[in-house]
Amino acid sequence: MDRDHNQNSGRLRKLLTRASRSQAVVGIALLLPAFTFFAVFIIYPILHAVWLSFQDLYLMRGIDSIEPYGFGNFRRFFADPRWTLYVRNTVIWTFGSVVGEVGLGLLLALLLNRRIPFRPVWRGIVILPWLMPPVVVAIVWRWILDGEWGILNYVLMNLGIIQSRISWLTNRSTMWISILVISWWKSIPFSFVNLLAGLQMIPEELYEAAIVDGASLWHRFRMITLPLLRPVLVVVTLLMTIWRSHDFNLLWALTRGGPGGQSTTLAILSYRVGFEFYRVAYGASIGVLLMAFMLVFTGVYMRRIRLDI
Amino acid sequence: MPLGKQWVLGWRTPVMLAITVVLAVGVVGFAVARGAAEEDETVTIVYLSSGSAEVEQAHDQKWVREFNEMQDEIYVDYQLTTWADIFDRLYADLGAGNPPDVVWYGHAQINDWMEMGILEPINDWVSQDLLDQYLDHIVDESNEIVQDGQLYGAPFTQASRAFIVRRDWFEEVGYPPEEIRTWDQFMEAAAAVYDPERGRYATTITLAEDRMVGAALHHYYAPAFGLRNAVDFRDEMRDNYIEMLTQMQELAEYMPPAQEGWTHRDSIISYTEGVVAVALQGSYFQGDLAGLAPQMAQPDVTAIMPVPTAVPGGNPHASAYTVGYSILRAAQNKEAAGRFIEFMADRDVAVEWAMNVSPHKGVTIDDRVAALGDQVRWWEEEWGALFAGGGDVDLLSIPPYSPTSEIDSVKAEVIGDLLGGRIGPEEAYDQLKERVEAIRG
Repeated sequence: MDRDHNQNSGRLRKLLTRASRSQAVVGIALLLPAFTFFAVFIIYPILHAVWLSFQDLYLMRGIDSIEPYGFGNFRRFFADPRWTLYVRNTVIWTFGSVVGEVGLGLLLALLLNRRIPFRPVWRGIVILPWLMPPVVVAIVWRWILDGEWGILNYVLMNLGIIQSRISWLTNRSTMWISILVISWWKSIPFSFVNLLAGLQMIPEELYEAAIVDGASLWHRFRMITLPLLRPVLVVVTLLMTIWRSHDFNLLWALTRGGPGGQSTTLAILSYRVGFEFYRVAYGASIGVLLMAFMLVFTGVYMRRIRLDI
Repeated sequence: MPLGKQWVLGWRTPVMLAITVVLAVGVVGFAVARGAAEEDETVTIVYLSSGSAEVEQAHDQKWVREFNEMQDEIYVDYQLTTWADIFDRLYADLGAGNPPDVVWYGHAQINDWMEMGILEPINDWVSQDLLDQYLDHIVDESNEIVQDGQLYGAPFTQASRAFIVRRDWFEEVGYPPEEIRTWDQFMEAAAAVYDPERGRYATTITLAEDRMVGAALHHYYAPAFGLRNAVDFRDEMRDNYIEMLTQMQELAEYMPPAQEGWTHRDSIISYTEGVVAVALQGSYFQGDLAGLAPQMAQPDVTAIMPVPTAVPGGNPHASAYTVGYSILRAAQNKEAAGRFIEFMADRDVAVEWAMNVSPHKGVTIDDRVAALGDQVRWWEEEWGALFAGGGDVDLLSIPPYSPTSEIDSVKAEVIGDLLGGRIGPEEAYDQLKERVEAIRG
């Protein structure tokens, strides 16, 4: 009996070992294409960019003129009298966009999570800007905000709100708020959809119990909604911060970093230096700096939030 | 059935393996087919054009098709990019070891490319017959496309820059364009025509596009103040440069504030929509005018005015440059590229080029009208009159500078601050000189 049992369990172990081995082989074989793709198109470019940032490659001197340059590119960046402007712009663009997008997205999600008439229609309308390509958004808004023939000036002047035309996207005092409003308009749907999904996961009974206990609307929001929405809020904020920090399309199509470099972020600077000024390695080093800033930010953010991922 | 066996023999595994095999066969098949195609006797050359305007594409497509059909030794693969993207595209192709054979050059590109050593002189690849067709100043040693006696481009068109002005507006305020020859006269006329209540501004510099700021200084303002070009920072020319910046700042009073956000497209519209009286455009502008505002493509509304001079005793000027075809030094099939250029740049093909004026000898206005239609007659006549100005207009070939994009970005920043009144002319000069000289090493 014992011998039979031992024989059976030994056979079973062998079968399981063989099965798990073949399962592992098949698993690796099926993963290989994805891993190869990841290694070739994600890992290698990142490593190459980091390597390139320590070289000197100026295409005007020829594509073969590459040579080691140590920290020269980074020293060059911090020696540029405008580096603080570029960093400041990156901070304004990144956090200005994210705060508005997440804040307004949350507001809309709270509003459209309530039972209001035509709720599906309102939800559909909110998502509409997401469907438009960033370049189209930029072109449309550039026309709306143009200082000479923009429709916003026309409307505001006819309403008597402004007396003379304003060049919204180039005037130093209106430039950033105009850019940010466009960014909010374009990107709110992402935070809205995610936060709405998060809100729908919160059990209705909790609110019912809180109402029975006499909790106010504000208390229900602060004590139930916010804590239970926190995981979604944290992930949405983190993702949007990372995306926005190196976002290029919308800002480039709106202002091309102008006027006079006043809206140039690190992402735009990296592109211009690398691809317009032929200083490929210097451009890569600015990209690496941006990546380093974002790694530090993400580390600090995750530590402060203490989110277990 | 044991777990592992069930997993291995499940339906997903054969499907995934089948997909992998199909993909692998596809990749190998593509490589084999490509190899076979390369063994074909037809030589394929890649022609990278920046002619993204509708008329440019139509011209390219027509004549590339004609070339491919008239012989079977060379097949031209026509590829299209834009002026804004041509640098990225070319460097990506060069970096990948797969450069085009023939590429468009423009004023802003050819000097950089010659400096970088990526262009092949075309003298050895085209016939003397083609070179003899060109106007003498184009193949002259001093021309921008000639270096060490070698020609680096085969022009298919000759562009020229002057002020494109609203004749009707200037005449209305008592300043006929023909009578404006000095900078002081121009400033008076600009002040007279400026009428913001009616939405009329004197002129514009499109500050949101660096290359347009570069072009404004290079082709218009710098030569008007006696400078060799926009990077003429010689000590003896300092006063001229500062005077130029002073006048630009004064002229900014008559410019639309919105220009800070304008690109080339906006500057075109600002003229066709009747916002500015003077457009800094060139001989290519007829295409935009005729397309967007045909009512303004008339000699009683629009006139071509040479740029007034601020140099005592000097002449007004217009600048001239060419656009054409170049061969890459790394091109795989230079001989075939030369034959293609010989065909495309030939007088009989290039005469149909729907912009600017012809770079060839002996092309008359009637030839251009016969090729393009009667609507171009007035434009050709205006430019013809300017070129044949009887010695009272200087036709300049302004020496280009390099690296163009980086220097133009500095100009856009500094000139933006100058026109916005945030810095004065002397500070602007110091900033330009210091930053441009640092770039040029």
